[in-house]
Parts: sequence; structure tokens; C-alpha cells
Amino acid sequence: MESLVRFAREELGNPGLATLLDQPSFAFIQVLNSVSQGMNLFIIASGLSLIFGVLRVINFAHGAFYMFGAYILYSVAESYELGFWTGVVAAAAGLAAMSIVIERGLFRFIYDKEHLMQLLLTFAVVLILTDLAKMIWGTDQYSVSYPDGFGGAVDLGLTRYPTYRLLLIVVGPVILVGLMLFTARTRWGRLTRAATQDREMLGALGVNVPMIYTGVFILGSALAGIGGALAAPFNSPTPGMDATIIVDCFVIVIVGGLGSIVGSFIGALIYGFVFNFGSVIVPNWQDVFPFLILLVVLLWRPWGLFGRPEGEGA
Amino acid sequence: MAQLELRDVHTAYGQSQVLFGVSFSVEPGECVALIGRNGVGKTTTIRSIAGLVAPRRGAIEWLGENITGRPSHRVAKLGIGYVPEERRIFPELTVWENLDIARRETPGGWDEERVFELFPDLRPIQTRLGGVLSGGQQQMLTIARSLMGNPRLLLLDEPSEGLAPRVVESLREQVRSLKDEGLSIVLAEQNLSFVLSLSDRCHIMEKGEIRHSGSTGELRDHPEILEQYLTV
Repeated sequence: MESLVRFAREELGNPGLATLLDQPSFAFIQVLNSVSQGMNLFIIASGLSLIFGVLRVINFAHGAFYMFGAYILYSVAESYELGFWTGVVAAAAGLAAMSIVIERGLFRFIYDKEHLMQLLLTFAVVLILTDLAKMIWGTDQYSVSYPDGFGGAVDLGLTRYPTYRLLLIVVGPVILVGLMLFTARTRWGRLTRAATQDREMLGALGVNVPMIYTGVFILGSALAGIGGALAAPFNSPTPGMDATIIVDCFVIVIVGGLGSIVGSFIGALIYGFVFNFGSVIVPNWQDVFPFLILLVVLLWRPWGLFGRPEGEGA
Repeated sequence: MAQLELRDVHTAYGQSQVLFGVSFSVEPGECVALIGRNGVGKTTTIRSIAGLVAPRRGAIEWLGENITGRPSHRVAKLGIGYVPEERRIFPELTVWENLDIARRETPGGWDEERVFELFPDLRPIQTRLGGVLSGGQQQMLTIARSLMGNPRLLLLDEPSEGLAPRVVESLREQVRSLKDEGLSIVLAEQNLSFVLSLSDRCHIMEKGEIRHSGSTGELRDHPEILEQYLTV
């Protein structure tokens, strides 16, 4: 091991890699960072994937939904001092309400249209929402404090680690399991799966499919809102935060397979690990790595790790 | 008053018109057959009734109410069950899930238990995925699925197509028992013995129109009528 560390430091001239190999606690922190970042991204990306899986619309505005989630949390928790968790609930509810208007008023009319039309419309929604956000919250950067009891760090033996980030590591899998139980075990979940397989037949069986679409859109958008609210303490709400997150989410859902919740989960973890370890080993290049994975996955499995080729099955 | 009445129904897909003024009616408990070669408009007639394609002209009335152009889920809720030709089982749902999504409970109506009494073959394969079923199993499931919605009229599109003769036999008995329970049926079918043994009245279609209407007894006695329209 020592020779490896020396090799990394002296031959490769890579102090980051040397520290990773030399200090288990540093490597451990990177693992935790990867997972917690991955879980936050998963919460957001799962909503995007869910919406695509059922509605077959790639919602560019999902990042703006995330930004609204963060801003709503700021207003409720900091401006009105109603508490952090109230803010999270308000963010979910706010996005749910917004998404009803957007789905009923706009998206409903483009389900049968080609993807380009859909992208243009969702992009228009991005422009409207980002301007709306500037009108409401201005262009300042806001700081949001951690919720009570989650501001400190926990001793994990090898190292101490921020409690709030550990919370994210727990919340991610909880949402994964919740979504999986919802789709597998509930009647709404069954109807949702049926809608992705044969929308017309489901309607002919007496099911109001447009209602299911609205329901799925609300759920997916609320996830973006929750993701934004939970990110607010470490990603200060600010204009432009929507643009970065939507790119990350696209990478994740494409790597995982569009429409697959488990795929988003794995994709988000891969993203987290590649980003965090990449930034230690090759500093300043971390932004490139996620796209490299994307490239590799697209060449090797264009439909993603957990997706399926177009035209096969659903 | 007829239970279902079509008056001068014209239906088109885009530029290509398929139905040119189809009119017929179904009385409660009656089985009305639409026969004719491929492409004469039987399926389009059924899809027009089910609300899957809106007629350009004409009217479809259900229990005296005009349902022309209503969305299919509302037509289904009024008691019209659609059983498509391609069966369209949800491939990634289990047999039970395929039934469950169509459930619309009515007191004394259809549920899994009654469905499995009618189609005993479905009971042991409840947890199997729809996509791996045999043609016969799929046909039973697609009818069973419609029954879960407690329809008063069943639209059966080519139910015997592609099935082995023995399977067609049992299907015939199952459809007959549904009819005996008072369910009305519109049956589009090319298998003449199947049609003649189940229906009360027949309409022979050609090029999007009904060319001949009569009782099933009349057709049985005068096979030359069938020959005139159905031989190539």
C-alpha cells in the first residue's frame, strides 16, 4: 500500500489519489459525499424519469421546478420562520399546485406531438418560470440554515460526518422503496403501469387516463420540489440553479434508462461517485466525467442501464 | 326502445373513410353479428361504438342517450365493454392485475371469483405476466377483463381468430353463457359456425356498408346469401 501511495504521489504526481489511498477516513468521506449527493439528485431525477415513463414527455422545466422548491423552502422556513419541515411540505404542495396548472393548461395538448414540439413547449415553460422566480425572489443568493437537530455532525468511528447529509443518505432509499411499492402494490401504481403499456386500451376499460397523467405529473413535480427544498441548505437558492440541475438529471436518467426508477437510483449513485472521486483525482475536470459516462453508456447501451430498446415491450 | 342504436354512422381515419352510413340496433340481451371479409369495416364499427374513433356523421345512442364522440372511458362507464381483436392484454401486468385495473364494482356484479368460475383456466395462472400467455388464455383474459367493468353490452371483435378449434369450442360455450345471463353482444366474426350458433341477427357488411340484414335462422336456411357476399 505504501509503495502505491508513493507511486501515486511521486510517479503520477497525483496528490489527490495518494491521499485517497493513504487516508481511509478521507476515502470514506468521499464515499459518503458521493452517496449523499447521489441521493439528492435521485429524488429530483426520479420525478423526471417517472413523468417520462408515463407521459412520454421530456420535461425541460423539471429543473425550474427544483429551483422553485428551493425558493419556496427559503420563503417558508427563513422569511416566514415557519420551520424547515413545513417548508419541505410547502415546496411539495406548491409544486403539486403549479404542476396541475401546467399539465392541464399546456402539456395536455402536446402528448401526441413529436418530441421536438414537446421540448420547445417545456423550454418555453422554463423561460416563463425562471423570469417568474426573478420577479418573486429577485436575483439574490439566499442562505438557508439546516433544520433543528441536523446542523451538527455524527461520529461514525472513522470520521465525523454532517448529520444533514446522512439524512439525505436515508431519505433517498426511502423514496426509492416508496415509489417501488407505489408502482408494484397500489391500484394507482397498476393503473400507471397499464397506462405506459397501452393507453388507449386502458381508456376503453373505463379508466380516465388523462387523470392518471395529471396524477403522475403532480407526483413527479412534487419530487422535484422536495429535492429542491432538501438541497437548499447546501445549494443556496439562486437564479440559474435550475440549469445545472436539469443537465445532471438528464445524465442520470439517460444512464439509468428513461422511465426506470431503479435506473435513476443507480444512475444517481454512479453520478455521485464519478463526480466526487473525479474531483479528487483529476481536480477541475469533475464536470467532464458525468458526460464521459453518458457517452460510454450511450455507445454501449443507448437505452440506458435499466431501460429497454424503443419498441420492445412498453 | 333499442338498447344500442347506430344511425347512419360515417367514420374515417384521416383521409380514408371506412364507414359509409352504418345503421343497426341491438335489443337488450340480444346477440347481433357483423360479418364480412377483412377490411369491410367491422372493427371500425366496433371502435366507433366504443368511443375509440369519433364518427364524422351519424349518431350512436345508448339507452336513448346520444354517446357519439364521447371519450372511451366514459362510454365504458356507461356499460359498454370493449374486447379488441388484438386482445391487448397488458404484457407487463399479471393476469390478476389485468383484471384489477378494469374493476368497477357493482353489487352482485362480476369479480375475480365469478370470472374464474366462467374461465377456470385463468385461476391457476393469476400471477403470470400477460405477455407470456397463450392465445387462448389471452382471449379469455381479455373477455374476463371487460367483465370486471360490469358491462351490459359486450363488443366482441373476432374472438375466435387464431385459436385452436377446441379452444374456439369452449369459447363458444363461455360466450353463450354470458348471453344467457342477459348480456347483449355485438359480435364481429369471420368464423361462420361460431356466428351462426351464437347470434340472433346478422348484418353482412361490404365496403363500409351493411348490405344484408336478417335473422340468423334465415341465413342458416339460405346459405346462398352468405356465399354471395363472403366468397372471394
